[in-house]
Amino acid sequence: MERFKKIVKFSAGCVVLGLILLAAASGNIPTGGEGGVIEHNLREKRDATPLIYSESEEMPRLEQGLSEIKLR
Amino acid sequence: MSNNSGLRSLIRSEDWWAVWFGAAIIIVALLHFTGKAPKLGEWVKNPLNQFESYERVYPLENKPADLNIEGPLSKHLKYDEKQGVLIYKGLMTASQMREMQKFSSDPEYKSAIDQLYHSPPVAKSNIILKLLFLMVSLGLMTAIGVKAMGHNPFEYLAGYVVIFVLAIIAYTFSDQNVIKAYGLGYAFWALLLGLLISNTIGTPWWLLTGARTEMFIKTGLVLLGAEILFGKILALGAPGLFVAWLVTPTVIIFMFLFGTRILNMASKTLVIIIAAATSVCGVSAAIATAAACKAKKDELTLAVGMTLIFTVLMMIFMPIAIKMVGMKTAVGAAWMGGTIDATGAVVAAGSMLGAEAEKIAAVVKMIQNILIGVVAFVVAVYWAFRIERTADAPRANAMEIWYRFPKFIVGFIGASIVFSFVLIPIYGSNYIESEIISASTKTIRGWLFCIAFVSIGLESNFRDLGSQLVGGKPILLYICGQSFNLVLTLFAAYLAFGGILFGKI
Repeated sequence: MERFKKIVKFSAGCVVLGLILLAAASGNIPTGGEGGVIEHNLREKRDATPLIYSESEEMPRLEQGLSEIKLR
Repeated sequence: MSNNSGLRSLIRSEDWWAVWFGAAIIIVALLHFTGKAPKLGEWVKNPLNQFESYERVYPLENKPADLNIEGPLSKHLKYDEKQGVLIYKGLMTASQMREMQKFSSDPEYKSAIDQLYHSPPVAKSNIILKLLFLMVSLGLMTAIGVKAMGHNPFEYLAGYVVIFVLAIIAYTFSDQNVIKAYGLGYAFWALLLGLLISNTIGTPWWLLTGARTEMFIKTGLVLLGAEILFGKILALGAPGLFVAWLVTPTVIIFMFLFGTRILNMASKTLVIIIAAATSVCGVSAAIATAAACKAKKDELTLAVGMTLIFTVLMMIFMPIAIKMVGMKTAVGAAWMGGTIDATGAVVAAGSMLGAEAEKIAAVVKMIQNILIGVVAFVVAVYWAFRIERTADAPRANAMEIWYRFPKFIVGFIGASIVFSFVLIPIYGSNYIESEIISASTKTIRGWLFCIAFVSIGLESNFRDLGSQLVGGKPILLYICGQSFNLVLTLFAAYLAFGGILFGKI
């Protein structure tokens, strides 16, 4: 019985994770609309997951663009 | 002490093995023995798409005069003038197609982008074999160390393979395009998957033998050292340094004193991990500090969980608040760069304020990131010198501190120094950053951290996590520390980027 309970809990967890993936893949996760940062990230293909600067593929472009900002 | 001292420790201690593993991976990358390390790609509807890279090509004879491909999409869309074609790499959604149509007013170009979107993507390469090669080579290499440390390498490998597969599943979650936009990366999903197993069916013993969390984390940290490049510190001049390097240590000290003296939290390791995660750069700082002070796994889980959730909230609400009060763009950008924990979320939030703000926010964060090495080193020394010493013990001498000192920090700092002051001056930063770090060490470090987080989840349970939360002190520490960080960083950003101390930007 104990083993059965554990398997049921595990299966329920897997179902929840599966539903999150399904909702994300079908676009049924709220993105905050046009003005929101999530929608903005999706539109511009932005990856918000990098933890540190070297993980961000945007950094070379941003560092290069920095020279355009002049200290006045 | 015996295991940590003398020549014997060089092949018996996990810390030294982490240094050897890290050095071996760096040498292989420098000699280009293997190609690019496999990195899973983005997917939208079909998870299998992450194993392949895609490309679309559509003819456009004349380049539009006003064509200006900008932003993150410039990584994907190119115009090949020789062949007269538009090339798009990766998967494309309808909203991205509409965004790319804004790059020129030419109707022919807009129509070509529309056709590009509707043309079927062609799979260019598959990474499954490379992934298999990485799993096997990393497994065999670490098994040598496991054997030298006195454990059964075959039992280890049985668990390791399953943990690696769980890490692939964690990456599958984080590579879905909507989840990516939310900023919920592999660390979150890897922890969740591990916790799901350990708290339901329980982690079987053979799987635990593969969960060598410290070994994966320490090896990953040695590789992370290669990414901490000191040359980046002055990228934004004095204002960037002022915001990133003045506020950060102040917040760490404030949070450490607040947690230990005001909140009277029993675990100093938990306090310092939360302080480092809040003030430096979230998850990566938490990992480095936890390893430096030998924290418990559930303490790291708790700090990482809090920082991931608050990062998403700050990414969503800080740009709204800045726009609402009409704050100067540069000040707002520096404020977000100094306070939002993860770089991806900083760049995303910064871009909401405009192109210039995106750059300032990202670079302030980058300068702050360099502090990881300094913080980990100081914490390791402080712990060896003060915290691990019993009250009645005599003052530790230099040798005693060295015995207690976590040796992998030597590899971490060493890699940073070698890359910053030897390899970059010799080979140039473009080559080292794109061909060595981006192509190999960074990706392998990501895999090591991912399997480490799966392992942490497999070894943790909700009861232990709950006991850490008793009285809500860790959350209170995070909220008070982050509030102090927000106020102090705003003040520093105003002084540095508001034209008070350094002239207007």
